[in-house]
Amino acid sequence: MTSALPPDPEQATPEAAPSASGAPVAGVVLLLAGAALLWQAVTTGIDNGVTLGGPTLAPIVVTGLWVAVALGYLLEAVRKRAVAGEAAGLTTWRTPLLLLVALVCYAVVLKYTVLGYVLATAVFVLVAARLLSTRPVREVIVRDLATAVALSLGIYLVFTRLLGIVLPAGVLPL
Amino acid sequence: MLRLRLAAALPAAVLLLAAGCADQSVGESPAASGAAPADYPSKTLQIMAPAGAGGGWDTTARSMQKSLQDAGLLKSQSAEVRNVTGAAGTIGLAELVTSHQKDPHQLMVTGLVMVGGVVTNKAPVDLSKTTPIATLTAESEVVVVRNDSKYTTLKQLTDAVKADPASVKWGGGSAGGTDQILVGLLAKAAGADAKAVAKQYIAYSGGGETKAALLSGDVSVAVSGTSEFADLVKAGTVRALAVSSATGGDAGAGTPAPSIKESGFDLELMNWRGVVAPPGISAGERTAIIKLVDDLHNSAPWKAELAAKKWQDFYKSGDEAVAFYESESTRIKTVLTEIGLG
Amino acid sequence: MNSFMDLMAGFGTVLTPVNLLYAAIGVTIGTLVGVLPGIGPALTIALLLPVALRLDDPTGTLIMFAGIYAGAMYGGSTTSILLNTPGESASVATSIEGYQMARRGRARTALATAAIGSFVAGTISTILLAFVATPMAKLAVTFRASDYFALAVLAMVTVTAMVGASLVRGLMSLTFGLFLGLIGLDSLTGQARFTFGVPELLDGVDIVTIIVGLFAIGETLFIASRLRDLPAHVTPLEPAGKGFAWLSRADWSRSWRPWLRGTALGFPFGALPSGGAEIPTFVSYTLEKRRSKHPEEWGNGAIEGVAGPEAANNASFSGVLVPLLTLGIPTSATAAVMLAAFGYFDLAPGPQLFEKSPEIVWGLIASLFVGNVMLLALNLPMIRVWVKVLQIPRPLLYTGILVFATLGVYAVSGSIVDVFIAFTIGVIAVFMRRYEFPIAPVILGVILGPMMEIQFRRALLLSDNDLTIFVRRPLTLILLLLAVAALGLPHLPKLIARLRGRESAKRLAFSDED
Repeated sequence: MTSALPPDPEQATPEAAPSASGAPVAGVVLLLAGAALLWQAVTTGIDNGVTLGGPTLAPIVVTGLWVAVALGYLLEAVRKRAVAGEAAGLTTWRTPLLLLVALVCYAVVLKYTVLGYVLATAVFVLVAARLLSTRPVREVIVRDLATAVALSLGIYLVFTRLLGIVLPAGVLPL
Repeated sequence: MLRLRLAAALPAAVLLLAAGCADQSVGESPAASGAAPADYPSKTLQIMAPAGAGGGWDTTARSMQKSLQDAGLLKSQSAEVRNVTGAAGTIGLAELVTSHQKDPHQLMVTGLVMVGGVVTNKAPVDLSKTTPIATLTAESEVVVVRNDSKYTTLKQLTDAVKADPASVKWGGGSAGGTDQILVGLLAKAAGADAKAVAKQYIAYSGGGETKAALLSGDVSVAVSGTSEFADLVKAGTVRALAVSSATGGDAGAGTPAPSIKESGFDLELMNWRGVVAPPGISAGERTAIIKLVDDLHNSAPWKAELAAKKWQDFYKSGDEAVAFYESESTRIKTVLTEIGLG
Repeated sequence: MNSFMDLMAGFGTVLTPVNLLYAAIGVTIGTLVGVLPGIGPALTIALLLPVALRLDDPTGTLIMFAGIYAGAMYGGSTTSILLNTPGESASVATSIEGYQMARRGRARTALATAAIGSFVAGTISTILLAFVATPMAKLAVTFRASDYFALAVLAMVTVTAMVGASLVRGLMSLTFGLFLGLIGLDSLTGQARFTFGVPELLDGVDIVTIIVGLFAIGETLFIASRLRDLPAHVTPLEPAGKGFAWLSRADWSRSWRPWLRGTALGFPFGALPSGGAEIPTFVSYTLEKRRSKHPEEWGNGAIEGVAGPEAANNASFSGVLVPLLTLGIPTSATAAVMLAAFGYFDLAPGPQLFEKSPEIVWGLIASLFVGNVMLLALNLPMIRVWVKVLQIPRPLLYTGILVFATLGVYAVSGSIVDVFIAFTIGVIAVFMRRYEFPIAPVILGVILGPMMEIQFRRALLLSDNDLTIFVRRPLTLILLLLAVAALGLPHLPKLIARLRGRESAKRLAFSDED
């Protein structure tokens, strides 16, 4: 389910092997994260004592399992490196990164500025749709604008008027 | 990391607890004129429910909002309810104290659960940093056993607990919540080892799980809000040993159950809810908010809400509320620390 | 057949124009909120409660609320199937095969088997509710902490098929889920675990936040990275089939058994005070996969993988009503809100409700039948509309998903930190997709981990640290032995073979599975 969308479902090729290049790096990151968490679990356990019925045992077990599995993954990744073809992985980091930045900005604007839900959402829709689009601006700008206005206003009205959930009104006189 | 921060925050919190209340009740804010601004509220009143929609605080906040509007107490303004969830309300508390200082149009619903939550979550901000306005409603707690239990009075139960704390398993809501606080206070009042008793307390997420645990025989005694067990008491499936209000009351059986006090222990604990304002508001603003809440309390719509929601009126406002908040904070903090949750 | 007469009287109550209208409003609202991530039935009912109180019509209100719950359970499957963005945990299992079906142009079939399966499961489980509620509830409350622990262990070993083709990657996902489940205050002692000094983490990471992050946000960011590789339209839709209600004869014959088995799993789990709707969906998925005559289709859109879990998740709702109506024990957030609604109308659910207010109880049960018919009537034609979602240009579709995902987390919690937690999980999910770690085991870990830990510790606390509690109670022992059998017998040869490296050969057949 997580595997990449192949261009054509019929061509889902068996060569799309899981152990893509970069997997060893992922394994190292996982192992380091697991080790850090295990360290925290163990020190908490030492400070507070570990008993079978206490709260410190499960963290040690789970993070211990994490380290063990991460080690297994790393070994597998290193071993299969030579035979692994490039999976249908990411083709660009740029778009998701920009999209993430847009998302974070959107959340911050919602919470900390007076722009309000409708304006912030409308702007976000325009930006995100542009980032996700492969067609030139002038072909889609009308469509994007219409969606931005309809979506943001629609959500705002339904939530505040019908459900009683407060969304920041902001500068618009709503 | 957490530990360091807490170590730094705790003494500060204690200091504030000592200094805070006097500070606010006298109102040393520079803007203090003593006179209430006649035009309060002069903008939209924000009532924060520091928990998710549907819970007790949220319902209280929405009832306040509705009654304020229906009673025409908001002049030409309106009121909004915001939910800020998390950590027994201490997330909302931190937001009120840090982001809404000096803003008299920001109110927050609070209650006993938050007093306990501040202690168990080791929250850096406690209620003494706010400006207490009033307590509104309260519900008593009930101590119940199954109908086939050998305990028929609270005294028999506490005698057994005193003799052997491990012989009685207690079930109730989350760790450090009202139910466990009552168990700790009861153990203290009965002269039992509070810490040993608290170790026999099993926390369940919500009244439903507690009920199931009592019925399945996992726990021998359950502690919960009186309304939670009323139907099972009524059906005769469980027996109410005592309620935690000052005087006995109907726990569902039709005949009043004795209060803990009437059972011979000097203890009263109400799960109360109230409302606070941010720190730093002027004495005049404080007076205006208190007047607004006084008016709300006297209004017909609020009385109708109390009846509809079956809430017990538990009104204290102004300085009386400040004193009550302070004494509750001290008492709860002491007992939670004694049972090892502080 | 006293119950039968009561039920007929219940139909008499419900089949008035006003109550039918309430039911229709309920299932419509429910379907809509089920489609939105984060906005679940519990929140909706809580928010509608004040409005409902003003109507002062207990029967109508409760009928509407039941409709919302049932509608939301169904609506949740729609986005899972079409977009791989389930809105709540009970739809995660559906999304696995459902989304693969949609990817292969079989969205209509997937939605239809979900709708009809929901109807079948809802109807059968409501019949069970009407006739075996009292004995069922009596049985359910005999479950003790040690039994729940054993049940969680059994569920955990049963659902190993969710782990997918690669054991090591599946286990890694599961471990990550177990870790997420540990975050927050320990519910038994109040001790903070893995909260890193962030107060927002004290309550743990909400399952909705996790699902929104893993699916809605993770999927969108991943799509964003591969725009150039993707066809212009999200899914080429197969032309509508000739079969009845979009299901061909083969689809019908492959669906009806999973529907029934899903119902048989969902109803009893729902009735257990600490059961829930998620576990039966995962168990159903595993069961169908094990029994399947078409193992090659799993991971590529096997219809049984939609039919079973969807039936299970709907059947669990009637199950939830068993302890709620007979004992006043709410076993889900929605049930708790409904209990509050009962309270406002001076109705105490519990042993006497059936005697004191039969017209309301039987009206509610009858309304479930009516609601199910309405859901089917609403949703089968609506499939035509839902699949249009796939024709929305991709930039707008995924932008919309991001907007709703952010809204779902922010509106519910009011906390920007929760939004950032969802984003963080979304970023992790992108890497999981990139390195082909399966997503569903994360949810398994989040749900089963805390259940296993807390019930294990409760059992120990209750027995004064006596480990024999797990072998002394017959029910616990039986469940644990079943778990050992489930783990040992069918899997041992396969596990060994996998560890020896037959994995790559297997992957040929399951290339898309994890």
